[in-house]
Amino acid sequence: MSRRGALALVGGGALFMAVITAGQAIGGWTRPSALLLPRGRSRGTGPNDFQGNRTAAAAGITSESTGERWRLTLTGGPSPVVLDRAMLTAMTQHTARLPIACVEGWSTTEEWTGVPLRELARLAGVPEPASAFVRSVERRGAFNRATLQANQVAHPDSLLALRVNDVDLSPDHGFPARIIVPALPGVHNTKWVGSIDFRTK
Amino acid sequence: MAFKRFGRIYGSHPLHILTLVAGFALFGYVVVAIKPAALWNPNTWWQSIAVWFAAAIIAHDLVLFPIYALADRLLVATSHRRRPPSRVPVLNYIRIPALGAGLTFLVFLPGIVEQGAPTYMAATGLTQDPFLGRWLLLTAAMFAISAIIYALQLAMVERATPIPSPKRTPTGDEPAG
Repeated sequence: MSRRGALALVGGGALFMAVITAGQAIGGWTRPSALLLPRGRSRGTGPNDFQGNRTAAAAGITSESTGERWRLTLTGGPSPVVLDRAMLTAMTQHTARLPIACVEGWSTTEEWTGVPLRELARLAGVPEPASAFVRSVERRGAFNRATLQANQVAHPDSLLALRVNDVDLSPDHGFPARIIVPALPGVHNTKWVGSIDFRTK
Repeated sequence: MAFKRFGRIYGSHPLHILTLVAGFALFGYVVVAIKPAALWNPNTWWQSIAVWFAAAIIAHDLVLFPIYALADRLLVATSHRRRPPSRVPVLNYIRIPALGAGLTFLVFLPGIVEQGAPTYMAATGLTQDPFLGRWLLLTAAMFAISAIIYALQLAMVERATPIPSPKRTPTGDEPAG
């Protein structure tokens, strides 16, 4: 093989790798082209059948902790505010089309509906928080909590999502409520949220 | 020109040393950016970047290189033994899909051999079943495409310069060609 041929081979190999992996990030109809990647697979055709990381079963989430008895606790103001899912769905909902961009290298863009985080901050009595500490119902693991910055809480598209693609979240995607914030790595979009502490410093 | 003298002293075109320096500079930047401490994992030593880098070099030089160098030698030897020799050498039409198969096998190894199944299940709720089959199909497709292109090349060359058929003289049996 000539030197030119060898260079062409290496360049072609790099291009081939790009083509066979790009589908997991571009998504849509290109996703199946990521033939040999975990995130190139279809999970069904329903509104909740998009890519995710960590199933509810793996996170040890039981229907006990996310069913009727689930409460969202908002702290940081003069007194804690406790809400259930019915109260949350009764509040004014906002819809945003946002991606989950995982640090593993894949993405998926969906339409999320829920209560804006700045609304929750206002309700908790901290209209301009410096940060927000989110805790999940999930007991173990490094990502059962996340800290959001002031600008992330204040963004109009930052939501505590209750529904996705016009249906309730599935357990694997964080039912009853999950965080979804623009330009935030997937691991910090906490699923199965239990409490949010709005901090002033 | 001036490059000839440089070439005599250095041993290669200046582009060679420029490319090497650029590569080392990029490597240096990466190490500085992630900080040298990140190369070593004090908790699980065998998960360190430095260990995998060294192991990859050793595993390649001691295991992979002998294997694929030998395979290539055998391929070259068998392709040279054909009589008459092909108008279009078949060598690269075998090498390239083989390289493609080897590359995809190496890069997507965990899924293909179903390593780390519990972690995969916890993350996605699915199994790694389809990957072996898909890789085999992909390999078959690569060899098939290579075969088709080879056949087309051969056909084009045959059409452009047809082999003259040997002429027989009335007195002898020897071809006049």
